[in-house]
Amino acid sequence: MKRIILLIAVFAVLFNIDTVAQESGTINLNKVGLDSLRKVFERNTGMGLFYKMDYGEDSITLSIRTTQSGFINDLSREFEKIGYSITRIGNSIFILKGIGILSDLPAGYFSGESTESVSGDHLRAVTYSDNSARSENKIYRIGDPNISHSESRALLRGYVKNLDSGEPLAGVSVMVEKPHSVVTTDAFGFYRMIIPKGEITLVLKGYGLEDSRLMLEVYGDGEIDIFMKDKVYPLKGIVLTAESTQKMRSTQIGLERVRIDRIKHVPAAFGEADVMKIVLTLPGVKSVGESSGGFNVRGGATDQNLILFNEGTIYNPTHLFGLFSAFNPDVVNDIELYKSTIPAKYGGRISSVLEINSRNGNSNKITGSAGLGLLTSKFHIEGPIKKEKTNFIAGLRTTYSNWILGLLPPESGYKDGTASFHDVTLGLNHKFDSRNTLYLYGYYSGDSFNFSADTSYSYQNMNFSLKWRNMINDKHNLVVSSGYDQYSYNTEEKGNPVSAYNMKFSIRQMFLKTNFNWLIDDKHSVNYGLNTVFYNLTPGVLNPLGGESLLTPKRLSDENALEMALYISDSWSIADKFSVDLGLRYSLYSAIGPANYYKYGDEERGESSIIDSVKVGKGGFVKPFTGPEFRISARYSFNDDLSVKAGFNSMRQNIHMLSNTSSVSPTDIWKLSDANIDPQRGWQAAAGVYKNALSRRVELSLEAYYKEMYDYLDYKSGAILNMNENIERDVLKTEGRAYGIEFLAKKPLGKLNGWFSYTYSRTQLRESGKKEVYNINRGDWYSASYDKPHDLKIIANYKFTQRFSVSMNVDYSTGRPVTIPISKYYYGDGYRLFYSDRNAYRIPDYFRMDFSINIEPSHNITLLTHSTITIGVYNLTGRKNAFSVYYDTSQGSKIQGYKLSIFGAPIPYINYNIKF
Amino acid sequence: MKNKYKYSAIIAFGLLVVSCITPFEPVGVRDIDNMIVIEGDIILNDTTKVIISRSLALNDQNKINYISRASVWVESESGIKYTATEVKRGVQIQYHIKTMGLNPSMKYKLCVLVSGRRYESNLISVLTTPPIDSIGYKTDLERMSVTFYVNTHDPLNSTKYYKWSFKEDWEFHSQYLSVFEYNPTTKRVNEITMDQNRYYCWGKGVSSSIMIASTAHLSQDRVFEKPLVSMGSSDMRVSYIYSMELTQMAISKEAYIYWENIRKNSDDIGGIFSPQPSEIQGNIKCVSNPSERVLGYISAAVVSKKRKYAYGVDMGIYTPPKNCESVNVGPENPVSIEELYLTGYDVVSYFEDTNESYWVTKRCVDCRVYGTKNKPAFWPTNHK
Repeated sequence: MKRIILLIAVFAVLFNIDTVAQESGTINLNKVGLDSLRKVFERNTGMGLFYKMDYGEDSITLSIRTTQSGFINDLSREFEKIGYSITRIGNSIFILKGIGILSDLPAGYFSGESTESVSGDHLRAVTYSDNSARSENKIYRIGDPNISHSESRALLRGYVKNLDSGEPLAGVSVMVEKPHSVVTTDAFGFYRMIIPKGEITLVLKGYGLEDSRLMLEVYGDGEIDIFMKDKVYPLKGIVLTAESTQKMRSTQIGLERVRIDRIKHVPAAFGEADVMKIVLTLPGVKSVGESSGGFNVRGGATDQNLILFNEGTIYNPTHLFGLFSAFNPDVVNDIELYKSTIPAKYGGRISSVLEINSRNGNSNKITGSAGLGLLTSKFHIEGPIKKEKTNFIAGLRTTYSNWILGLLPPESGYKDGTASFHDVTLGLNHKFDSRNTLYLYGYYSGDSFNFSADTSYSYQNMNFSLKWRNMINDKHNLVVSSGYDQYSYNTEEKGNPVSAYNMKFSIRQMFLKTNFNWLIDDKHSVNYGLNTVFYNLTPGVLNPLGGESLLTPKRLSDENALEMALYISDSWSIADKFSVDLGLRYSLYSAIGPANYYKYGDEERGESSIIDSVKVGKGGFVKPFTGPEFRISARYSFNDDLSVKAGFNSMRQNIHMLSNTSSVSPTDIWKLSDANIDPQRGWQAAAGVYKNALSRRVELSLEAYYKEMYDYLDYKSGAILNMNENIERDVLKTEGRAYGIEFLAKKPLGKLNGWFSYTYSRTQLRESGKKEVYNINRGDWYSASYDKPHDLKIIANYKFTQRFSVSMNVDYSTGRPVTIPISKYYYGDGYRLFYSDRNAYRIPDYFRMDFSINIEPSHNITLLTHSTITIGVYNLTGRKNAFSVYYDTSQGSKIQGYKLSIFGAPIPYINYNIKF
Repeated sequence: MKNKYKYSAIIAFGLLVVSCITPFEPVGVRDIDNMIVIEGDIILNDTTKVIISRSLALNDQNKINYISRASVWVESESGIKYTATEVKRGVQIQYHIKTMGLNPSMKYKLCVLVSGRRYESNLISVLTTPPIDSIGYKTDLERMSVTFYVNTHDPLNSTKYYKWSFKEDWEFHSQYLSVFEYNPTTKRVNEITMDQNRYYCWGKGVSSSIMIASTAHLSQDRVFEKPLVSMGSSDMRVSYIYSMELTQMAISKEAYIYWENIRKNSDDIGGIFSPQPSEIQGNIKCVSNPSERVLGYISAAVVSKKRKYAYGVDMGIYTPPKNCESVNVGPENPVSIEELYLTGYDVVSYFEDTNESYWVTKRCVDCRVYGTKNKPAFWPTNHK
C-alpha cells in the first residue's frame, strides 16, 4: 500500500513543493518553505512548530530525508547546518537562531503519536491558483518510482476543495487529456480515476472556478488533493467550462445543475433568492401558475418528483402556500434536477429527481451571513469546530409576512389572513480519518396561516439523516445513509361551534440507503446498493374542537408499507468516443398490515360491487408489487465539442398525492399503494445533441423525449379526498403521454451570461380502461393542467464590473388549460353554470419580465463585513397574467368571467445582505 | 431616519399594486345551449311545481327560455299517473301537479314529454323532513351586516342531508312621507289621504343561492346556525320588517353531492386552491335518446316550513342612503314645479296659501320606485 506524505500548503506557491510518495514512515522533503515544513511536522509528530523569522529569512528552504521517528533529530540536524537550533518546550518545538536548549530527543519518543497521525491523514494537497505560473511547469510525482508495477495504469484519487473555505467541490471535472478520460467529483468533492502511467496532464474545470492544469508523473497508485480557487470572472476571454465538458462527456440526458451563486442573481418575487423557482426556469419544467407550489417535469404530475434535501425526502418544499421555497439559499450549495436519465440509485417517483445539497461549511474559519428582505430575515453561520476534522453549517430563516396576504384580492378569500413560516437547517460533518467521514443533517420547516379568523392551517417538514462515507479500499467506497423524514399538517375550522374540527395528517418514513461504488478498471465503474424505505402514514385524524362540537371523532387506520430496491449500474466506456450506462433497479413493495380492505367485483367500485372483505394481520403483506426498472443511456462524442446521447428510463412510484386542485395545496394528502391502488409506472425515451459553439463560450443542446405514464390517479366528480376510508371508490386510473423538444443555449461566463431556452411540449391524459361510461371527457385524451406547448425563458445577467451587474428574466408560455362554463341555466331560482370538457380552453398566454440590479459595494478583503444590495422589480411590465378564472352568477342573466392575477403589477423590492 | 422613510415608501407602493381581478372574455368558446333543464321536486305536502327550460349561451342576455305545451306527470311505482296543468305566471311557465296527500311510502318518478322526446327521472323514495327548530339572525356591527340562519335537528338521526329555500317579503318605507301628490294633468298639487300614500311599500323575492348541509360527520343529526342569507346596512330588507318563509327538505346523499357540486362550481372556483370544476349527471334522463344531456336532479319529500319575522329596529343596522336632493319652491326660488316633476322630483309638502312647496328626489318620496303596494295577506302590520 502506497502512503503519500501529507502536505497542506495554503499559500505554498512561493515554495517549491516537491514532496514525493514514499514508503510508510519515510518523509522526503526537498526545498520546502518553513510554512510547509511546519504543516508536515505537525502532522507527523502531533507537535507544534513555532518560529519567528525576520525579513529575508522567510524564504528559507531546506531539504530533508527522514523517517517519522527520526523527524525531530533530522530536522534539528538540518537546522544546525544553517545556523538555527530547535528547542522543545512541552509539546511545542521552537526554531531559534543560534544554539538551542535541546538538541536531541530519545528515539521513539513520539512514535506513539506519530503512528496515530500516520493513519490519520495521508493525503497530499496541492494548492492551485492562477498566479502559480511556475507550478504549471511543476511535475508532481504519483506513486513510488522505485517500485515497479507491471500494470500500465494507475489509480488516482483525492478530493477537490475550495481554496478559501476548504469546502469540497462537487461537480468538478477531472480530465486526462491524452488518452481522453474524465470523471466528475461527487457530492463529497471526491474523484477517482484510472490514469495511464508516465507523464500526463490533469485538467480540472469547475463552474465558477479557475481552471487548473497539473503535470503528473505517474509511477503507481496515489492520491492527490487539489485546491481550486474561485474564479474572478474575466469579463472577456475564452473559457471552456466544466459544465460544457460534463455535458459533452457524461452519458446523462436531461441533467440540470445550478449553483447557488447563479440562483442568487436571478430576480425573484420580493427578492427572495429561491431555490425552487430557479427550477422553473429550466427547460422542460413547468408549473400551473406563479405562486403555486410544485412543478411539472416533462409532463409529469407534481407528486412525481422526488425532492431530496441532504438525502431526506421533502413532501412540501414550499412556504406560504407556494410563494417561496422552503430552503434557505445561504445554506444551499447547488441543485441537481434529473429530468430524463435518472441514476439507478434513485427511485420511488416516476418523473424526476430534484436533489438539493447543502454546503458542508467553511473548514478554515467561522463565517456567516445575515439578510434582510421585505418578507424574511435570515441568518446563517458556518465554520470549523475542530480544524480539518469537524465543520458545521447552520441556517435560520423567519418571516414577518402577514402583510403579504393583504395584497391578495378579496376574491381569493385570503385577504384577512395571517401567515408565518420559518425554517432551520443544520449540517455537521466529522472526518474520523481519510477513510471515514460522518455527516449529520437536520432540517425543519414550519408554516402556519389562517385565511380567516375561523380557519387555520399549519404544516411541517422534519428530516434527520446520518450519512457515513467509507473508503473500503482504493477502488471501492461505500456510502450508508439512514434517516427519518416527516411531513404533517393540521387544519382547524371553528366557524360553526357544532361542527368545529381539527384534522391531522402525517407521513413518517425511515430509510436506509447503502450505495457502493466500485471502479473496476478504466472501462467500468459500477454502482450498486440497496434502498429501503419504511412508510407509516396517518391518513387522517378528525377530532371535534371545543366543547360544543358534535363532530364524530374519526381516525382512518394507519397505512404502513415497505419499499425495497436493489440496483446495479455500470458506466462502461466502450471506447474513447462511445460510452454507455446500464442500470437495473428492482423494486419490491408491499403495503403491510394490519389492514382491512374490500375486494370489488368490477371496475366500477362501490358499495354494491364488494365481493369480499379481507383482513390482513399485523406485519402481513397486503399486496406485493414488484418489477424491474431500466436505466439505460449512451453517449457518442464526435469530438470535444459535439456529442449525441440517447436513453431509456422506466420508473415506479408507490406513493400518490391525492389532490383535485390544479396546484399543490397544503391540505393535499398522500396515499400509499395498496390492494386497490396500484403503483404508478412510467417510462421515458429521450435523445439529445450537445454542441459547444462560439469558441466554447456557448453551450447548445437539443433534447427530445417521449414519455408514457400509467395508473396515475384522477378523481370522479364530487370525490371526497379527505377522511375517506374508501378512497378507491372515488379515484380513476388515468394514463398519460407526453412528448417535447427542448432547446437550450447557455453562456455560463463572461460579461453577458445566462441561458435561453425554448420548449415545445404536450402532455395529455385520459381515463384508462374500457368502460361503458367514462367519467372524464368520454375517455378521450385531454390536456393536463400544466400542458403549455410553447415555453420560452431567458435568464440573463450582465456584469458591468465585478461589483455591479444587472439581471433580467423573461418568461413566456402558452396559457394553461382550464375548464370554463360554456352554458348557463336557471335552476333553483338562480343561474347555474354548465362546464366544458376538462381543460378544453386556455387562459391567456403568460408573459413576465423581471429586472434587478446587484451591487456589491466593496470587495476589500480587510473589511470585516461584506454587503450586497439587490434592487429589482418583479413583473416589470405589470402584465396581469391570469392565474385562474371564475364566473360571477350573482348579477342575474349577465354571467361575467373574471381572471385572477396573483402579481398583476410590477413589484419592486430591495434586499440587503451582510456576509461576515 | 431618512432610510427608514424610504423603506416604508417601497412597501406602501407594493401594497397598492399587487394582485387584481380583471374581466375575462375567453375567445373561441363553443357554447352549448338548448339542453333541456328539468326542475321540480315532488312535494307530498304541497303542489309539485315543475319548470322546464332550455339552457342558454353564456353571454345570452335573454330571459329564461321556458318550454310550454309539454306533457308533465308524476308516476308512482304502481303506475298511477298524476298529470300536470300548465300555469303561466308572467313570463314564467310552470306545470302544477296535485301531489298533496300522496302515499309517502311509495316511490315516484317525474316524467316529461317535450316535442316527442320523453324524459324520466329515476324512481325516487320520499323522504320525510323534520320540523325546523328555529330561524334566527346575527348582527355583525363591525361589518354592519345581518346573517339569517336556521337551526334544526332530527331526533331519529336519519335525515343527515338538508336543503333549504325561502320566499321573502319585506316592508319598507320611503325616506319622506308625503300627503301631497302632483297631478301631471292639472299640473297642480293635491292633498291625498293616508290610504293613497307612497310611503308604505313591500318587496318580495326568493332565495337564489344553494343552501344545503350535511350532518353525516356529526354524532347527532343537528344543524346549528346554518347561514342562509346575509344583508348589508343599505339593504332595504333590514329597514323595517323582513319575513322569511323557509322550506326545509330532506334530500338523499346523491342529491346532496349533486347540489354541492353545483354550488362549488359557482362559488368555489378561481381561488388558489380551488378544485377543478366538473359536471355530475343528475337523475333525469332522456329515455328516447339516452345520449342527450339533460340537466336536473329530482328529489321527493314531505317538506317542513317555518316563517320568521325580523324587525329593522331589532336588527339595528339599517342606514338609509344619502341620495336625496331637495328643492324649496317659493317666492325666493320661483322654479316651475312641472319642470321639477319632469326631472324626477316628487312633492313632499305644499302650502296652498303661499304656493310654496318642497320637492325631493322621487326615489326618496315614492316607495314604489323600489317595490309595490301589494301587501302580503299575512302581513303583521295594518299599514296600507
